Formats: sequence, C-alpha cells, structure tokens
Amino acid sequence: MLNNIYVNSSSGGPVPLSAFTHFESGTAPLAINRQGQFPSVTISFNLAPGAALGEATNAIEKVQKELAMPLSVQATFQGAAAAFQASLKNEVWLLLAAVVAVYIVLGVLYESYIHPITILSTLPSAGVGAILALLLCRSELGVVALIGIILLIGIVKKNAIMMIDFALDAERNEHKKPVDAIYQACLLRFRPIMMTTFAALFGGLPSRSATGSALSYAGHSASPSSAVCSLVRCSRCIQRQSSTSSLIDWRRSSPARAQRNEARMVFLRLRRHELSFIKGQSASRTDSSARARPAGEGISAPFIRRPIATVLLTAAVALAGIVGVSATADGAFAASGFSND
Amino acid sequence: MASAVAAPLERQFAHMAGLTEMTSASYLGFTSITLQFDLSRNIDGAARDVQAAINAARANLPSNLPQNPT
Repeated sequence: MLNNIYVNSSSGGPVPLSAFTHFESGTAPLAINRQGQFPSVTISFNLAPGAALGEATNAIEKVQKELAMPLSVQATFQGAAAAFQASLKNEVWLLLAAVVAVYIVLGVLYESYIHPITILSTLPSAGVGAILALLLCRSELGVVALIGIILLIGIVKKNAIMMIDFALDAERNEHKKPVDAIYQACLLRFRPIMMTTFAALFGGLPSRSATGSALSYAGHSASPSSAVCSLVRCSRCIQRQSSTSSLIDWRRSSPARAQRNEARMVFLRLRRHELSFIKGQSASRTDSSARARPAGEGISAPFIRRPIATVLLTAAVALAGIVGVSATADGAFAASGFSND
Repeated sequence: MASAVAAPLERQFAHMAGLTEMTSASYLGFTSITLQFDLSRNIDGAARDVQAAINAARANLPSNLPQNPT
C-alpha cells in the first residue's frame, strides 16, 4: 500500500515513496515505561474496605518471593505503599531518639544516671498495657492509636516525675529512708495523679462513643491506656524501691489498691524490670538514695552475688503475686503479692 | 523516543537534588517524564533545576525536534 503513495518533488513531478525510502514490517513497542532510567512495569492496587496497607504489602512481598524472579528484576513499592514502608523504618529510630532525649533531659534534671532509668523503666510496661488494651478492644495499632500511646507515655512519665521529685526532696531535706520517702511521695501525690488519670480517661470517653471517625480510634487507645497508666504507677513504686535496694515494704507504698487486680496482669513483666534494675544499681553506686541508706546496700549486696537465688526468688515472688500469697526468702528479703492485704 | 529523547533527559534529571521518583512513558512521537521531589524541596527551585537540566540535555537531543521539551 505504501508503494502507491507518491510525494511531490522539488522539481514538481510526483515521486513514489519507495524510490527514496525503504520499509519493512516488524514488531516495536507501543509504549516504553521507565522508572529511574530502567524499563519498568507498574502494577497498581487499591485496598478493599477494612483492609490494612501493612497486610497488603506483606501479601505482595510473599507473592514476589514465590515468583522467584531473576536477580536482574527488582520490585519496589511506589506512592503510598512506599511512604508507608519508609515510615515503618523511621518509627523505631524516632521512638529511640525520643527515649534518649528524655533520658538526657531527666539526667540533667536529677543530676543522676540512675533516676532517669527509674522513670523510663515504666515505659515498657505502659506500652504493654496499651497494646493489651488495644487487643482487648480489637483495635488496630494505627497512627491515631499511636497518638494515644504517646499521650499515655506522657501521663505515665509525668506521674513518675511527680513522685520521684517528692521522694528525692524528702530524702535530701528530711533525711528519710528511700522506702519511707517514696511511700510518703506516693501518698502525697496520689490525688494529683488520680486527677490527671481520670481527666485523661473521661476526656477520651466522648471520642470513644464516636463511630466511623478517626477520633473514635483515638478514644479506643487513649481511654484504656489511661486506665493502664494507673497500673503503671504501681510498677513505678516497685521500681523506685528496687532502686533503693529494698523491696521489703513495696506493697505498702502502692496507694492505688483498687488498681492492683489490673497490675497483677503484668506483674511478671514488672518483676523482670525490677531484676534488671537491681543489677544496674550494683554497677553504679552514684544513686543518692544508696548513699543515704547504707543499710540498703547491705541488703542488696548478697542479693546480687547470688544470681540463681535471685532468679528463683523473682520467680517465687512473681508466683506469689499471681496467687496472692506471701513468699519469704533469703532472710533479709521478703515480698508479698499484690492482693494479700 | 525512549532512547533518543527520554534517555538524555533522564540522565540529566537524575542529577537533581531532592528527586525521589522519576517515571517516563514513551510512545510514538511523544515522551512524558514525571518527576517527584522530596516534600522539603521548594517547588520553584525544583522547577529551575528541571529547566537547567533540559537546557543541559538539549545538546544530546535530536536536532530535528519540532519543539523544545516543556
């Protein structure tokens, strides 16, 4: 057909197209798509209602592995999925950086390496409580739930700071024993801590009843979380006292007896913190409370030198906490469960 | 189009700062290149960079382009 096409030459006469061109039939790409200078194929997807982006990307990665594509073929996520993966990568570092920053600021505030750890050690149990609450409510750990957890962390840390501030003051100025100091601080700060706890709790309730909005998720995570933070207060008493190397009276120092049933739930976990904390204490004796109470050191020293006994004792104490009976061991050391008084 | 027009342009674009994604689609007589920049990148500065990259790539483009890339 192209043989029949004539074009006008500059001299005026028609010239067949085949006189100065040559043509053949073959295959050629209709379109070439490239991504960053490399040829690419893009597969787009939309999420079904209620499906999470994380599940979708996991499913896609699974299929990609099953395909066993040659090494020269690379697959990456683009758009929202890529942003999601990048945010996952950053989140861990962001949280770590936040914890480090808080440690530095608190360390400057208390002029101590130990007290910030005492306060920060409430964080894992707070996180566990929040995640348990999310599991109970069958909510997803979305961005809004994360905001709720951040709120919880703020409340928990504020409570810890309030109590330890008072305890340190009592130790330094009234020369009280660490155990008595934290006990007094617990009693004194019980009311403001309860005020903030319930303010956060009831503040989250209205948004909890909302449906279909992002706010309802915030309520879902925030209100159980703030309930959990009262539980964490118990743990803080324990940890503070473990920092003073004396566990004898820790059950007395927890003023929130109503919360003890909740606390039992994460009791094992708290015990573990306590144990690791005692070890940290033995490494650095810069703690003012340890100086203030040489008798406390006398208790902790044999305690640390017997790791097996420590583990056994911790297990025994944890068991006691669960079944609510007293466990007494190692002469100078006695501990009781949450519910036996 | 892909090798004669898109490739020289893409080579220049690849040097730009703050570029996160570059996709191109080449058809018969037509190439479209989409550039995505980092959110922190100022859009006016990015536009200037793109224009400079087009000017730099101009020498490597076919001399009989009906119009300059826009």
